[in-house]
Amino acid sequence: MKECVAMLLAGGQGSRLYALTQSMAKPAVYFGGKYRIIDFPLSNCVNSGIDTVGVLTQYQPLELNEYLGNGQPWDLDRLYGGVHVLPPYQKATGSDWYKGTANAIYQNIKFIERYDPEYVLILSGDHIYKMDYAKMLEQHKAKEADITIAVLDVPKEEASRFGIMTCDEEGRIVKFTEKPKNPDSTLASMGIYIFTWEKLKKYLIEDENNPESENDFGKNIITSMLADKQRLYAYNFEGYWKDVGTIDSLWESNMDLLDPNVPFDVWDKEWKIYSRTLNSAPQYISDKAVVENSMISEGCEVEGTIDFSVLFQNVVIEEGATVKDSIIMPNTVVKKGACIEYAIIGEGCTIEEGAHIGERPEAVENAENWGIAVIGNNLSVCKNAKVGAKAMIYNDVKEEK
Amino acid sequence: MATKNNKVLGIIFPNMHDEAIPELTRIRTMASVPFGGRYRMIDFALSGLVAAGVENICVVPRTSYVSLMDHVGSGKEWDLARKRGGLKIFPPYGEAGTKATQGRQGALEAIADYIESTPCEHVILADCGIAHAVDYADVVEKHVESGADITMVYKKELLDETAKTDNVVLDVRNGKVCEMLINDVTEKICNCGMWVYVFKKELLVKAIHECEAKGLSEFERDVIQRNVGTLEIRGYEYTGYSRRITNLKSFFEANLDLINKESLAGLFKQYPIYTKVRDDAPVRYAIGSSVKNTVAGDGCFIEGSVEGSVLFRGVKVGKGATVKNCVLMQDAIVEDGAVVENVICDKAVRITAGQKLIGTATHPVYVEKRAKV
Repeated sequence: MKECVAMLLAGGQGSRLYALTQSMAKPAVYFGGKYRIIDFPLSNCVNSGIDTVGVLTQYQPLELNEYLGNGQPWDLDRLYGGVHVLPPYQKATGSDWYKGTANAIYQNIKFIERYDPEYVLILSGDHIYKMDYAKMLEQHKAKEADITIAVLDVPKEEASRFGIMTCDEEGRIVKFTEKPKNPDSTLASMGIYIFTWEKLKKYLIEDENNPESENDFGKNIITSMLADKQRLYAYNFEGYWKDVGTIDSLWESNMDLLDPNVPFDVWDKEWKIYSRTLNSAPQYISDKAVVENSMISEGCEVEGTIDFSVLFQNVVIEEGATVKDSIIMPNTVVKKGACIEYAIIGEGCTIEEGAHIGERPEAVENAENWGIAVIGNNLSVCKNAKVGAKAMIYNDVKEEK
Repeated sequence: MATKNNKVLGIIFPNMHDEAIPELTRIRTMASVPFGGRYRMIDFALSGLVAAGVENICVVPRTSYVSLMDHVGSGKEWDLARKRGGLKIFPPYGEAGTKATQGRQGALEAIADYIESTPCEHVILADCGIAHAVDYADVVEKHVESGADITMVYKKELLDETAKTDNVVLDVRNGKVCEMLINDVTEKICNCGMWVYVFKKELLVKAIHECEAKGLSEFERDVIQRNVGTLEIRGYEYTGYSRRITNLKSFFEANLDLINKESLAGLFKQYPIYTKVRDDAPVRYAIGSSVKNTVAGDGCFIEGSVEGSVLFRGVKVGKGATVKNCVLMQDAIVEDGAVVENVICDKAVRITAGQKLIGTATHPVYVEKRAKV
């Protein structure tokens, strides 16, 4: 048996990432120069000593399935346990998509029971953070809790965006409100739960039998456990945590890696973030290149100017090209004289000579019209094209005739 | 690309040429000498064979192979952790009174039974003393097409005197090797052997047993040279990128030569070169850093200035530090304000704050593993 099994909800579409999630689920989206979002919860599991992880997929699973493979890059290729991709499946009595987060776990009760765990850790695949789940589990055991919810103290003005927990002095949750207008606490749920399995199973079955339920962890399971006066505890997490569900937050979170004042360090050898790596040559910075405060990955060839930017594997920046305050995903080529500012460029793109993508905030008159420009995956942007601020590009940008 | 080459067995000799750079091979084999920012010399042979579809590879070390074993592990990074074939390491073994295997001939004697038992028809023998991107599939194809007993890969090169005690020069006419000279001193461009041979398996096994019976121990001399004229020995000319490591200086120059796109492409873009994954973060170029003309592996953290250098994985360059024309191996640290120029730092060397260490382009300074300067 396993003491604790992790279930990672990775079926989300990530619709607010628009062009970037056209062909892949949000957890597969690239982050931080060589990672994908899912590398963070997976690496946290391994670093916390959890070696059995079910990954629940639904939306565009192909990329994610291939990426996870047998789990070897995370050391999750195990004889007993390891990583398992769990898509919805057909049963003798019919088949169902995952109707909600709770239903997704409900449909995989049999998977969990193969490991006969005492505890189940529920994670989501859309957050960037480093966290020792073992410490959270310790607290869960010490408090003899039925469920422990990781919480983050957020600024008061942001509290209405989150599920907010109100706790008594010993950390027991007395109230839970989803996105409250007038929050009476600033402890936001991080979407990370440890359940005592026996309890979770009972509530999952009850929830499934309730036709009114939306089968959602926050809205339904936690609310009914609270109503039944079960033992719900908050686990205070301190450190960097970011939901990268929007273009702005994805961009900001990448830029946070370049800010020495942000306490988030992917260079920490004690808490490595593992990923499936392409095998690329070392990176090459030419004598004409200018690189300032940036992060550059293997296989890149830089002959232009890079400033406050993140380049993923095998990106080519030709001479005279400029990349500022931007994120460029793998295998993209930026040709001579092209300029990229405040933009996210998807993987496998070609930005032709002289093209200009994105604008600086000060160059746009009305602040409402400014935003990060995004070029979707595998697109080309023609010579001398201009793609303005806040643009969301789904198709090749071709020359006007 | 590669189809399976089930009929071919690869054999790699990690210790040949160890004596070329005693500084680096004191604690390791030539095969495990770090090269090019993230690789070790054996990666070229292993990746080249894998790219050619060879799935059955033997590595036969003689001494100092701890770092080699650690590097290749089960072979999974090269996709060689296989049930059929895959990577096999044959460390030397001796019974009372026997010597550890010597040279290629000794290594081959030790594994002759294994070679014989594999279902292959041809055997590729390769060393690790030259960084190159030979297309092994093409070599084997030409070998089979020509019906040769032995095919030797060579390149037209001008050898300097550092190579004079470790070279093979061929006289090739219409693809046939007519003469083979060992350690001949030459001052002109010659057909220089690249230590890559393809043999018909039966012939190789027979030759190994014959030499063993006669007490002959020099592979090049006793197995190949003696048979020039009697066997069909063909030459295969390699015209791609290569760098021969003959001493510390040529090691230094070969690394620094990678700081241009053509060299990088010549070595790394012919087929994927695999190596042990270390899960480092991307390179961080901090505010105030200045980097020009440099090749870097992942995990480096650069706050100072770097020019004309090769940085291996996890190298740190502190604030105000200057690194010029250097080869800094894995996890070397150049602390704040230190200056290094024409220096080779072995793994995990620490140049303490404010220190100055300067060699010349012809005589780089070498700092040994884990030393603190």
